[in-house]
Amino acid sequence: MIPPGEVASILALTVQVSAAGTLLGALVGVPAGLALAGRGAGRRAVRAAVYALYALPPVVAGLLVYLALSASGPLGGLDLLFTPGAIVVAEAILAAPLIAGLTVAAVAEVPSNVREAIEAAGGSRFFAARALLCEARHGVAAAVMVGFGRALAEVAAALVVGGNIRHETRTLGTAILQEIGQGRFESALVLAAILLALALATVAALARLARAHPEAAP
Amino acid sequence: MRLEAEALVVRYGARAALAGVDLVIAPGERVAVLGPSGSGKTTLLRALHLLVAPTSGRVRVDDAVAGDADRRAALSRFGLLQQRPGLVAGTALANVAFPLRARGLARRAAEARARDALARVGLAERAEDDAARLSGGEAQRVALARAVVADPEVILVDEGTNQLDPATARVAESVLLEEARRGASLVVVTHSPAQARRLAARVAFLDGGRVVADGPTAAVLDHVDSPAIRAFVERA
Repeated sequence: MIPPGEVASILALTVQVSAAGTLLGALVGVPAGLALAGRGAGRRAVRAAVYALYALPPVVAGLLVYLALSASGPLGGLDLLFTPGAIVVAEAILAAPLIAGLTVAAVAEVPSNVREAIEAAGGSRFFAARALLCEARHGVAAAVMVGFGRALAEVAAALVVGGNIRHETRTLGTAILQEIGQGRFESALVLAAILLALALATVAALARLARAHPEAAP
Repeated sequence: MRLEAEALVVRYGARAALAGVDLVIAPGERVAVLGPSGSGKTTLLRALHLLVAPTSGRVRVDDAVAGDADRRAALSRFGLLQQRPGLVAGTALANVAFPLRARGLARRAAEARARDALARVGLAERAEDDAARLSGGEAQRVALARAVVADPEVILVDEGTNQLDPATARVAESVLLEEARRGASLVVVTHSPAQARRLAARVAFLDGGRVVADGPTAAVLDHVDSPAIRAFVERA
């Protein structure tokens, strides 16, 4: 069995990298979603590309991040490969399209007369985007939670770019794989139960938000 | 502000909401836009407000075609009273201060002016109330205060008094007429010839996306040649 102290540190690292990956994904995904929410053929095409990225296989995302962060890659100088930072980048890449796409949907739920009133007030694009974000805040919060759920459940990309290094980059998902590989199913089940509890807590928070604000349901 | 629609066409798919409208709104002019449902009144208002891009033709603001870069600056010269008040999240005060904040005014100064505007529509005591909890009529009065708070050069009204009881509608009309006396132009979309007579010196009558009559209010409404206008006036 993995010592309880080590389980706690694996849990802490999992939550930290998932939260950081989601935050990074939201920093890209929310503004992108706001920008893509309007009309026009160009926006439609980019939206379709974003929706296609929902299906990006995590192992492919991991491979791309690996190549980018490897010593000969364009971001090799950052020296991030096989660190929690690399897992954060991979999870952000997986979460960002989901957050962007669901932000588009959240903005579409804002009544057209409210959107028109915001536009009619003039002001800068930043002011209008901030006002629109405020109107769509419950839906955007739900989008970020869905992104967090995806980051939390991530295994393949974390394994490729993090390397599952004990005490350094081992997350709940990669630790479960490790325990299964070594035939320690009891230990794997304990870790799986913790991961499941985290995922259920995220889903419960999402459900609570959707009950309070039905328009936010993704 | 001089506002001009020139051969304005707006299509939604195959349907032409506006099929070639020419209309000039001179500075300080009070114009009512009348016409049956689906005649293009709201689309014309939105196009004049630069909120919808023409399929062809153009809208000139002070003789210049508003390009994308200066469109946002031009938007802040208008006040808009929508048919359904699109209030944003927050208090009544925050809603009325919204156009001033959009123009970069500091919060304290914006809220001071917003309180004055709320007092004009009889809602001074509701300033701190959540906009979502206001009745339909109160929300519409907040929207009216928001439309006039920034002393706009043109006020566009899209059937903006429909949700008000007759007495409150008169208060709203008096606010709009005060704005006109200040020098603002009024463009009022309405189904009511009576309201057109009270608010406007001129009527543009739309039918099928075209202006079929344009002239002094009494001349258009009292000396009716067109069967469409006669039917409209008689129905009202």
